[in-house]
Amino acid sequence: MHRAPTHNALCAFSPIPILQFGQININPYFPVRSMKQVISMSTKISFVLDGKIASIDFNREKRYTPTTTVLNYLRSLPNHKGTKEGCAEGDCGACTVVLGELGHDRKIHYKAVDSCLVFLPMLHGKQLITIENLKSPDDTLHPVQQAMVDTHGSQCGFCTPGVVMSLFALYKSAIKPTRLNIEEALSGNLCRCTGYVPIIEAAEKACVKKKKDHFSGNEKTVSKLLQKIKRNSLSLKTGNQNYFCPKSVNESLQLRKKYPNTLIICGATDIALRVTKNYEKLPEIIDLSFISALQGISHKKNSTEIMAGTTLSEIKRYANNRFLALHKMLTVFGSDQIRNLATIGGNIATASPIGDIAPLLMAYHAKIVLVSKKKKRRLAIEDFITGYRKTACRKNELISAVIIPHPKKDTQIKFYKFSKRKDLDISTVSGGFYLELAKENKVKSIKLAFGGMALFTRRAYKTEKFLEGFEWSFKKVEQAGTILEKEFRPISDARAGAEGRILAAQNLLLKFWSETRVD
Amino acid sequence: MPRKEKLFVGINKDLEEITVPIPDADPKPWDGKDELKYIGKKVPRIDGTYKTTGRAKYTFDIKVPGMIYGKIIRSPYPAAMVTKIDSSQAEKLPGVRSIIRVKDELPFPVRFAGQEVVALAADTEHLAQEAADLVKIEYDQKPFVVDLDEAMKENAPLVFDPKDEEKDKVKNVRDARIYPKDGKSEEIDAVLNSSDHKIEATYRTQVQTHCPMETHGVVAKWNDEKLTIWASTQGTFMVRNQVADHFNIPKSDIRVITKFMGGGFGSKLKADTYTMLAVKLAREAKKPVRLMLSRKEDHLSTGNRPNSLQTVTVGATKEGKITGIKLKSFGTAGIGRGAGTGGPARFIYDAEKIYTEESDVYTNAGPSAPFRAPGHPQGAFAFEQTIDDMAYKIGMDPLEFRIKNSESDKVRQAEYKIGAEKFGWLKRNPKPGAEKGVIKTGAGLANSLWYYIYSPGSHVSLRVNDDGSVQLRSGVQDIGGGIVTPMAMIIAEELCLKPTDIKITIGDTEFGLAPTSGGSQTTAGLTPAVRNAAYSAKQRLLKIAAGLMEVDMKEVKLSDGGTFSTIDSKKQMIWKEVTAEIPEGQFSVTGERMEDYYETKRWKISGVQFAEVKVDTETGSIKVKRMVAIHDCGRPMDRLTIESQINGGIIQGISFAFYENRILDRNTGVMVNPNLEQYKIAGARDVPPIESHIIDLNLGQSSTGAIGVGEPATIPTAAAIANAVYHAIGVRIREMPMTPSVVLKALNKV
Repeated sequence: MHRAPTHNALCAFSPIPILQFGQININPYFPVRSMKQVISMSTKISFVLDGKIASIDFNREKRYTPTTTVLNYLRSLPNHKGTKEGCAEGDCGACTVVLGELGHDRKIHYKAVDSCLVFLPMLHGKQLITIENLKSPDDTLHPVQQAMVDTHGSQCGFCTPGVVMSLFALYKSAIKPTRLNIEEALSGNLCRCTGYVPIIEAAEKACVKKKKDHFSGNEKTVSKLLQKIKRNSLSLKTGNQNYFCPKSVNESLQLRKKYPNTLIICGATDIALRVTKNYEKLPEIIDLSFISALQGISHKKNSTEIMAGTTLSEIKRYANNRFLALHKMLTVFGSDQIRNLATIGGNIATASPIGDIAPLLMAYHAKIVLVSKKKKRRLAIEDFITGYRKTACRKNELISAVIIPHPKKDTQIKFYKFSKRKDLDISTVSGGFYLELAKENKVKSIKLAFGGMALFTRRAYKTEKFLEGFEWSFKKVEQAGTILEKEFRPISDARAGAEGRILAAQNLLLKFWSETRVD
Repeated sequence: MPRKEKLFVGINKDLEEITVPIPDADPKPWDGKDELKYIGKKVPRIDGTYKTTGRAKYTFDIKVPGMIYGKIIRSPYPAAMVTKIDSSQAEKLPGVRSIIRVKDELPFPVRFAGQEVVALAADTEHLAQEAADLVKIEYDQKPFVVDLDEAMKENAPLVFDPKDEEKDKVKNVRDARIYPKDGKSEEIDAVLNSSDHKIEATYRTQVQTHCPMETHGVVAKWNDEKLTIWASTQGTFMVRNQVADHFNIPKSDIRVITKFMGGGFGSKLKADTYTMLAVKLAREAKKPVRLMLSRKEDHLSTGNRPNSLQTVTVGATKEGKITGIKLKSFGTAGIGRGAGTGGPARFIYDAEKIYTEESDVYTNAGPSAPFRAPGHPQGAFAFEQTIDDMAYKIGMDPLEFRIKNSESDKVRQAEYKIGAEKFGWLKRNPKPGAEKGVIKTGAGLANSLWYYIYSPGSHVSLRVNDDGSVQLRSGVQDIGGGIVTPMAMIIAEELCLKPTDIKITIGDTEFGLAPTSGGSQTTAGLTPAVRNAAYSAKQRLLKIAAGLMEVDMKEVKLSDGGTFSTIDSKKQMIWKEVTAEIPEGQFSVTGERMEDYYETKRWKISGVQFAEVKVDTETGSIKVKRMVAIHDCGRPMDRLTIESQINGGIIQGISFAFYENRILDRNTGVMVNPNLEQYKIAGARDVPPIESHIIDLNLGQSSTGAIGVGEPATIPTAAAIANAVYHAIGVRIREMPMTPSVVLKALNKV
C-alpha cells in the first residue's frame, strides 16, 4: 500500500547507506572509536519510570520487540492505562507522554512526544513520565491537572491525559507562555468535544505563573538515576529483528557493512507508522539518534551549521530571532510532539515532493554536507534533490549537516504555506522565496522554490529569469504568473486540483510581492 | 389527585403567571422566580479529577481475565459477491480461538469498501492480525458507484440488486420525502414566481465522519447464559435491547456497562455489527473478547454525516416578507438512509408556504449514522445563505430581514436582540465586499433550529444511608456532556448539601432506565427523575426529623448545610443526626420522568450565532476572528457544561466548514483519507474567541424545566461563517469545506 508522507517529518535516513568503516578517520565530525566499544554493545535498555530504573533485556524479554512502541509498552503495564490511543499515527496526541532528558547543563529537559511513534530503545537513558506520575506523593494534583479540573477542561475525557501531558511539558519549559505558545503546545492534541476553550484557559491559569512542582524537588534524585544508566551502544536482537543504536558513525558503518539492507532512522516519526499502521516487521534498523556528533547547531562567521540529527524543536528554538522565515515555517510544521523527535537530516533525506523544509532551504541558499570515508562535499540543496524521493547522496555517503549562509542585509526571505489547516497539515503548495533588490527597485536576484507543484521540490527557474533585472512591480509579477503556469504541471489530488495549485502558486508570488514591495 | 401550582414562566425576567397541575408526589417545578444555590450557576464537572489523572477507565481500558482479541476482516472492494472464504490456514495458527463469517451462506454481497466479512479472535492483538492475513477471501467484483451525481444517473450501477431487495431499494434514488405546508409543489412555484423577489441557488456539502477520540468497541463476556458487554456507547439500553433481539435472549440476561466513554456524536447509538460479532466470537471461543476498531475502521464503517446537493428557492415581497420557501435536496447516506436537510427550511421562519422534497441516494459507501443534529448544519449552510442573499437583494439588513420573518418565535427575537448588542452588529458596513485591501473582514449571522425531545419513563434510585451518605444510581451513560454534574447539583439543591457530597454511579443497565444520549435529550429526560427522587427523599427525611423533634412534619424545614429545623428555628438538628435515625440503616426512593405537566407549545429550540471572519483574498484562507452564540435550553442547569457544549459545537462547526471531508476514490471506491492525518479536524489554533449567552427560559413543564443544547450549538456555525465570508468578499461560497482552493476558485470567477 502506498502511504503518503506524514507531517512532512519523514525522519528516516533511508535509503542512504553509511560511510565505509575506515582505519583512519579523516572526518572531523566523527571521532575515532575503537572496536572494543562495538563489541561491548548492550542488549538491554534502561530508563527511569515511576522513580525507578526500569530495564528491558531483549535477550530475555519475550513480550516486547525493539519496535514495540512506548504506547503499547505502557498499555501492557497494569498501572499506566491513562495513556490512550486515538489514531496510532501521531496526529491526535491522546498518547502524549513526556520524556525527561539530562542536558549538558545537568538539568532535566522535558519534551512531549507521541508515544505511539517512539520505539522502546529511544527511551534508553531517559525518564519516561506518564499521566499517572503527575500527582504529588501527597496525592495533590499537579497545577496543570488542577487547572484542567477548575476550568472544566474535559468532556468525554479521552484526550485529556494527552492534553495534560502537553500542558505539563509547557509547564516545565523555560518560557512564560503567551497565547501563541499555548496554542503551539497544544497543536499536537486533538479534542473533539470541548472546543479547546477551557483547555487554553487552563494553560493560562497554570503555566503563566509557575510554582515549583514535585518534579523540581526530585530532579537531583532522577538525575543521579539517569547518570547511572550506561550510555553504551545498543545491539538489541529478538527473534527476527535487529535494532542497533551506535554511538558513532564508524560503528554505524561497520554495522552497515554487515547488514547491507538495514533501515536507517533518526527520529522515525514516519517509519514508526510502518509498524503501527501497516504492521510491518522491520528486520534491521540502525538508529542514529544516539550519535551526539550528529547533533547541534554552530554559528560560524558567514553561516550557521546545523548537524543532520538535530531535532526540529532545537532548530526552531535557535531560529527564533535569527532565521525568521525558518522559524515561521517550523511553527506550522507538525506539532511539538513531532518536532521533538523529527530531525532535519531525516526530513531532507526523504526528498518528499511536498516537504516544507526543502523549498525554504533553497530560498536560504542552503548547502547539504555529505561525508564519505575519503572526503566531504557540499551540494546546493537544488542539486541534492534529484527526483521524486531521490537525492544525490551516494551509497558511500551520509548527510552530516545543513549549512545556511547568513542572509545578506537588504535581502528578503519568506515562507508561505497553502494548506487546509495551518499546523499539522501537509501543504497543498508551499513556497520558499528569496529576493534581492538592486537600485531603482530592480530585481537583482530572486529564488522561487515550490513544494507541491512537481514530483519534487523545484525552483521556478523560468519565472525567476523573467523577473531578474526588471522592476519589482505588481504588473511584472502578475505577468510572471503566466510564466509560472507554464513552468509547472502539478497533479490533481485530494488536497487540490491542478488549476487550484497553479492559482495558489501565483497568488503566493503576489503575496510575496505585496510583502516585499518598496513604495 | 394533582394539585394546582402557580408558576412564573417566560424568557429571562419577562415572566407571566400560569397555573399548572402537578402530581402530589412531585415538587413544585422550578420557575422564573426561583433563585437557586447551584442550579443555573457554574459548577466544574465533579468527575474532572478522574479524567485529568488518567484514572477514568474506558472500554478501551477494560481488561478481564482470560480476555482475547477480536479482529474484523473487511471487504477491500466497494461492490462484490463474496464467493469463497478459506480460513483453514488461520485456524491452524495456535492461539486462534474462533473464526466466524458475517453470513453463513455463500455467496453474499458486500456493498461498500470496509464492510464486515469475517471476524476472528486470538490470544493477542498481533496474533489476530496475523491470522487475519491468512484468511483467503475470494470476491467477484461488481460495478459500483460512490459519487452522488454519478449514482443519480440513469445508467448508474445499482447499489442494491432489484431482484433480492425490498421495493424501495430497487433504484439508487429513493422516493422523496415530501413536506408541504399549505400547498403542493406547483402551488409553491406559482407563489415563488409571482413574488417581488425570488432567489434560487444550489449548494453542496461534504461527508463528515464522527471521529470520536475513543474509537468504537466493546468487550463481551459470557457467563453461562448471561452476557456482560462493556461498550463505548451513548445508549446502554439500546445496545442491550438490540443484542437481546439479535441473539434472541432475554434482556434481563444482558448487562451493558459504560462507566466512561470517549465521545460518540451520534455514531455510538446503535449496537452495530461489530458488537454482534464480538458477542458471537466470545460465545464460540468461550472467552471474553475485546474488539476495538482502528481509526480507519471507524471512518469506514461506523457512520457519517451524509453529503448534500440542495437547491433552495425563496420568494419575498419588496417589503421584506418571505412569501414561500422551497427546498429540493439529494444526499447520500451510503447504503444507509437519512440524508434529509429540510429542518431549517421548514421551521425557522414564518413563511406561509413551505415545500421540501428530500431524497436519499444510495451509493457504495458506509452507512450514515445520526451526527450531532442530523441534517441541520448542512441544511442551515444552504438555507441560511439563501435567506442572506434575499436580504441583500431586497436591500435589507440580514438581521432585520430575519427579525421580520420570525416574529412568532419570541425566544428567537430575544436572542437576536442580545446577539446584535453583544456582537456590535450595527457597527458593520452594510455593503458586502466593501473593505479595501487584500485581507478583508466580514460579519454574518445564522439561525439554528432543533427540537425539544425527551422520552418519559426514565427513572433513578436514590439511597440515603444512616451515615449521612447519599447515593444515586442511573443506567445513563455520560457521552462526555457531563450529565453527572447537573444530577449532583439537583440533589444538592433539593437536599441542601454540596454537589460533591453526592455519590453517583451511572453507566450500567442493572440500574434504572435512562435516555440514550441522542437528540439532546439526556438532560431534559433525566433531570426531572433525579429531582423527583431527591424530593421524595427529602419528604422521608423531614418526616424522620419531625418525629425526632416531636412536631408535625409541616413544621420542619431543611436548609443550607443539611440542617433540619422547625419553622420557628427553636429546634435544630444537623444532617447526620437525622440520617442516623433512618430505620434499618438506609432507605431508597425512585424518581421517574413522567410526561410534561402541560403542553408548552414550545416544541423547538432556537439559537443564533454571529461570526466575524478575515479572508485573505490572495491565499483564500479564512480566519474566524470571533463568534457570539446565543442559545436557549429551557432552564439552564450547569452553565459550565452548557458553555462547554456551545464551545464544542462551534469548533465542530468550524471544523466542518473548513477541514473535514471524507474522500472516496471514484476509480476504486476506497476512502483516500481514513485517518486523522489527511482527514483534518480543527485544532487549538483554530479556536476563535467565543462569547456565549444562554437564555433563561422557564417553562415549568417538568420539575427541572431543562431542555437540551448539545446539538443546536453546532447547527448555525458553518452558515454564519459563510455569511460572514460573503460580507467580507462579496462572493458566495456555495460548497463545503471552504478550503483555500475553493475560496480562490470562487474569487477568480468574479
